[in-house]
Amino acid sequence: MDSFEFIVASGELVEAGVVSSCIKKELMKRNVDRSIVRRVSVASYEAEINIVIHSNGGTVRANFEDDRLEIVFTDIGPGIEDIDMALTRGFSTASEFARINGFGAGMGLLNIREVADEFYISSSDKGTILKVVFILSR
Amino acid sequence: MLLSEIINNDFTVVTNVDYTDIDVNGAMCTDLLSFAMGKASYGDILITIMNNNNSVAVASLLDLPCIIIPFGLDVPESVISRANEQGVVVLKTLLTNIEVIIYLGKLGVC
Repeated sequence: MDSFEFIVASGELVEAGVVSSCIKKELMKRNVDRSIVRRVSVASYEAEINIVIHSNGGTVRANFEDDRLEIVFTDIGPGIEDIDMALTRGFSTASEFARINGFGAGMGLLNIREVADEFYISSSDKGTILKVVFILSR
Repeated sequence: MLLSEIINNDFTVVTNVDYTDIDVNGAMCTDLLSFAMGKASYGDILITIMNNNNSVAVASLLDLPCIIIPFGLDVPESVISRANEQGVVVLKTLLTNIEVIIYLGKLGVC
């Protein structure tokens, strides 16, 4: 199994996308189908942005095992108060800063759930853990 | 259609990415980057007023070859530099976003 771990800083919108870009490059190196690369890129970028704009920072761990890619996004809070609401199209708690930079449309988590083969999320005031899984051979 | 066939005097190319052989398949006009993430297709031109690194990241991750910044908005040097690194062509224009869409529509791009 190959694992990659990245640190994502809170509020660093200028650098957002670096982790997703690394994951995409790894997928391309493995000749994964373009449509799957696209789906992984959508999920990883949205989740990376969520750590940047909503949390106090966190980590991303990508585990490649055979034809399965598991990505775990873990942040250190403050957590999602109501996950069902966060999964409602158009609902957002994003700051003004995030909004003027093009985020906070209330679509991020939904985009992730739509493109992932498996989607798990849990949250408390200590932080949020989001796990997505992609089958790379389809 | 080739990107080079689209670029006329209304557009200024601000990046130094070689675009002579780049194909474009369509266009997406939005300033909501999550909307672009969810809906843009491979080969689309992204038309947006978001003249920031995040637009470049979205374009790069989704293989959108070109971003058009309308309304005469400036493109910061840091954005140009990131776009050059990522191989994304950035154009700026005095046209409005709607005028860009109409132009691309007449060309059959979207």
